[in-house]
Amino acid sequence: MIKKRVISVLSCALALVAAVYLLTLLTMPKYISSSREGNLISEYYGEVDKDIAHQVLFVGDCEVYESFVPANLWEEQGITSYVRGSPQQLIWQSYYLLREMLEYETPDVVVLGVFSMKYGEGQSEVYNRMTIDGMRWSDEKWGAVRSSLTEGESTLSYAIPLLRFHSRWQELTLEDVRYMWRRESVSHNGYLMQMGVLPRPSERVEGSQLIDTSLPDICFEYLDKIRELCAESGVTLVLVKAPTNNWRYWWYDEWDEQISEYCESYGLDYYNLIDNCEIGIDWERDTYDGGVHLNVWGAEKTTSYLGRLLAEKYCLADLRGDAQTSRIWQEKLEKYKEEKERAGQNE
Amino acid sequence: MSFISIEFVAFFCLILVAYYFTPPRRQWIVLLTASYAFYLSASPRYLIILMINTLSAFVFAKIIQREREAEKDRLTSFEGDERKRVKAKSLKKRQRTLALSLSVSLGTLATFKFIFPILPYGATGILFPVGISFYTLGIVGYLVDVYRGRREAEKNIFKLALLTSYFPHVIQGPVLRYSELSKSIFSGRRAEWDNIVSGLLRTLWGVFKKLVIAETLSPAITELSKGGEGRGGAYVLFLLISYAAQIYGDFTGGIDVALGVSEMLGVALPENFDRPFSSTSLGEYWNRWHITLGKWFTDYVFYPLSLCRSIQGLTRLCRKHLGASIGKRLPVYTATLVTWFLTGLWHGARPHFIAWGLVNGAMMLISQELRPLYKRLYSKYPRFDGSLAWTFVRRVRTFLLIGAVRLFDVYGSVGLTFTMLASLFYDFESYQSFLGGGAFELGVSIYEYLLVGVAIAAVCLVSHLNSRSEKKAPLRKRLVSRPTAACICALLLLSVSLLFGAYGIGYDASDFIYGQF
Amino acid sequence: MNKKSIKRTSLALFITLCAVSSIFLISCEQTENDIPADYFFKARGVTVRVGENVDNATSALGEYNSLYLAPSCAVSGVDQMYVYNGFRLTAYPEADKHIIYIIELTNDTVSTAEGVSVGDTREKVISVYGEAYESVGESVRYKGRDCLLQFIIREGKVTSIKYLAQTD
Repeated sequence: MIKKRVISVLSCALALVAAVYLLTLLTMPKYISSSREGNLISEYYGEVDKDIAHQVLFVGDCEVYESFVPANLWEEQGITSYVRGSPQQLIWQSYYLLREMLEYETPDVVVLGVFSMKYGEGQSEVYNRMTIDGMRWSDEKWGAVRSSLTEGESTLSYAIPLLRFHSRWQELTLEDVRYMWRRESVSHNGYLMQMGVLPRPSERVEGSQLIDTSLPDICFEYLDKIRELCAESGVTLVLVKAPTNNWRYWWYDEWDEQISEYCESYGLDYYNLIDNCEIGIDWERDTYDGGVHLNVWGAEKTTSYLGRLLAEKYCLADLRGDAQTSRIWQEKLEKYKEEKERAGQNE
Repeated sequence: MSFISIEFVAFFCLILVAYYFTPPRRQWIVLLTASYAFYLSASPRYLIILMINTLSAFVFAKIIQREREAEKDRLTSFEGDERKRVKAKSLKKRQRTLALSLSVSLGTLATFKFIFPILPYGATGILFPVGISFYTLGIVGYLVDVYRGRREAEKNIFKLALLTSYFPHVIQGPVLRYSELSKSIFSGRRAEWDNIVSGLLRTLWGVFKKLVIAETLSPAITELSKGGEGRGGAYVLFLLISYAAQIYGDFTGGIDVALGVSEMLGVALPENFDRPFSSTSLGEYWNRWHITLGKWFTDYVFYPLSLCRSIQGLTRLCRKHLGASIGKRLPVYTATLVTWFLTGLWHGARPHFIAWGLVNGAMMLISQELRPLYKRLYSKYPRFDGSLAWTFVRRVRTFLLIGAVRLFDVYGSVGLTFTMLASLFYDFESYQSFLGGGAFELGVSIYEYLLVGVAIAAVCLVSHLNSRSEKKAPLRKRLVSRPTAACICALLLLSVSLLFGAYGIGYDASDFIYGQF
Repeated sequence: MNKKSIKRTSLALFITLCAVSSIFLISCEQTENDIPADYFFKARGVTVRVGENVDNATSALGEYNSLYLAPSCAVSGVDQMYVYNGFRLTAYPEADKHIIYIIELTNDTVSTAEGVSVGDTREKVISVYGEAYESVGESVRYKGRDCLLQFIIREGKVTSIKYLAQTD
């Protein structure tokens, strides 16, 4: 009798775990038909599972995943790269994501988008979810959770996402069932292609004045951690500010000075690409949302510029001569061009 | 700490393990520690009030007990008139002590419930102690029982402390009689499969009712409770029905959790609900809804009031001057209305609670007066009595009457309640609006309404299965002998609650409705 | 120690604890009596507040100079900025409307309801609004009932005035 009860209890416990797991897979947003950015973080593991390493890793928010095109970097410079970006990725999330990536590979260069240095605390549960839910279970994931929680959020809901997404039972569609186990890739090595064109207003509007123009201390703490992590791993850290500068997401001169000073004191390179004429951005054509982000044409120009810089300054090898790497990347490049053509026809 | 929270689950798992690994004689100490820890999780100040009340009850009960024992000793030395005089003196002393002890307990309750809320801004930072309404009734019952000689005063203050603070009952009840609770709470036990499984099933059933029924309907009820234009007529009827479902899910769900948790510890608590919506009369309803509160007020307010000298004197006066019919009714009616007045006051000092109590009391009396009429009706048309259709009509009538009075609680205002009830009969546009999809503009989607419908159907089915044979144990007890079936049920309840329950970000986290008392 | 004396000692301890706790209870804190000020902006005879629907404000204020839009990173919704002479209103999307979260005074053609404008001195700000401010460098910030009122001050002069939603 006792044996039967013990078996029942254990079976029940296992069945509960299985039920929670299945319900979690069913109710979690799939980010396929909308908010595709939610899939960006998890798509990196596709590279990991295939043992694909990269010479350059990009880390940062939407400025990064919509400004730098790995396919373009490969085509022009033979440099392999991955963009591990997500919407409103915070600096501490960048740290944990980078720490996780460095457990899988050791790139030559890490390019960090600096715009997130303005956020000293968690901003939005939605964006936290898009960044953290895609991470595999690891110390880094829990580090990112603990440092990102906003009011009302709980660590447990990240461990058991069903507790957060159960209310989606009313919104479930065929897409939720279809993509329970596998999802189609939405990005090209982390770059999210945007084809639309919405010119930036000709009249430039600056961001409103700030009462406190100092970047938060906690952001510099995490920047220190990123710097030290790269140094320990023998990786070159490069800081970059994308060419976009909109009144809502304004990059203040004071912030720029603070980043420049920091980089100078630690011997890091920092490239502020705003108003950089060499890139050749045409604000009538190269943005899809009035100058907040770049579309594919703007991103390709930016990547071309940065690519030349990376190749020259950091002596990154041109791997187009390597047969295996070439084969993999040629496939990626073709896929990228196919989508660009297909999307261009639809526009 | 809410009953439905991960913190409580972790807390209870810890307590359960510690409880059954402790020698049976000492298990009550684990419960005492757990109960005080539970209180501390709310606020240290809640604990102080509880401790003061416990100490006061302990001391006064001991004084009353000692006086009775001293009286017994003294009486052996006296006879005749002297004996009567000694008895009377002792009784007076015990009465004074009881009055003092009740004034401490009830005075504390009255202070927090009635006085502090009306103080000017600045003093209202004082907190309302969790469970004070429930444990005060328990303490008052204990003191009266000691006074009446029905039980002995507790010799161990820590045991009394456990009786007053026992954590499963503190949030929503049931109202406990310490004599009954003492029988099971201090006798240790080993872990029993039956108790644990049955208790777990009951707890999960309570969670299901709370999260799937009560919480899902919450947005609609919050919206409709504002009243006003566009929310009359059909919406009042809808509110009446949905609030009945909500309070049923919330209150019985909370009680199921309390009783289930207690059952897992092997401690029996009294049932508080018995299929209330199957009632065919108001009297029957109040014997099935919040049973322990009703019984408490009957035993400690209604009966003493009906039998007290003042009421008896009033009865004799009325018989003499107004006739036997009125004279016979007066003590009962007075006691009934006072009891209901106090019941309303126990819920809160605001006019709508008092109105709720008095209207319920008045309806009970009217129902009493109409009994001869129904008797004549049944004798003339015997097919009515006991027929399925007439039983159904009576159930609907009872449901609507109780639901209408419950609206005082929802609207929170006497005037607004009467206005909204009146609109049932003249706001015909609202019926059109409601049928045109108005129900879906209240923050609850059609899927959620369907879900609640299915959940209520499940509750009705389980209730029906439980009632089919009064001699057999409830369904969950029948399941414990079938481990596989029990596990499937537990898994189903938990999965359904996790998936369909209204909790977390995006829902208003509403505490148990009775947790405010 | 025998059982009786243990009980007596426990009881004595319990009573002492209750007495001490009672003193703690009686000396409970009073909540703040200060009621925060109500800060709002007035222009063209129209009162504008943080937290209100921007459409109500703009229809009352009349024609604006420019409207700028800025989408968020991933989730749907576009921030709006209405630019008027001397001030601008920034609003975020919520359901089917836009809610004002910043009112910024950009030059001295307008002033706050209490009469302070861009260009005024720090001393004037403090003399009008009082000492209950929070300093951020030279600048000062006042906490209102529904919003923050910020005076950005450089070299002793107000360069910008902002009404902000409390969470900003």
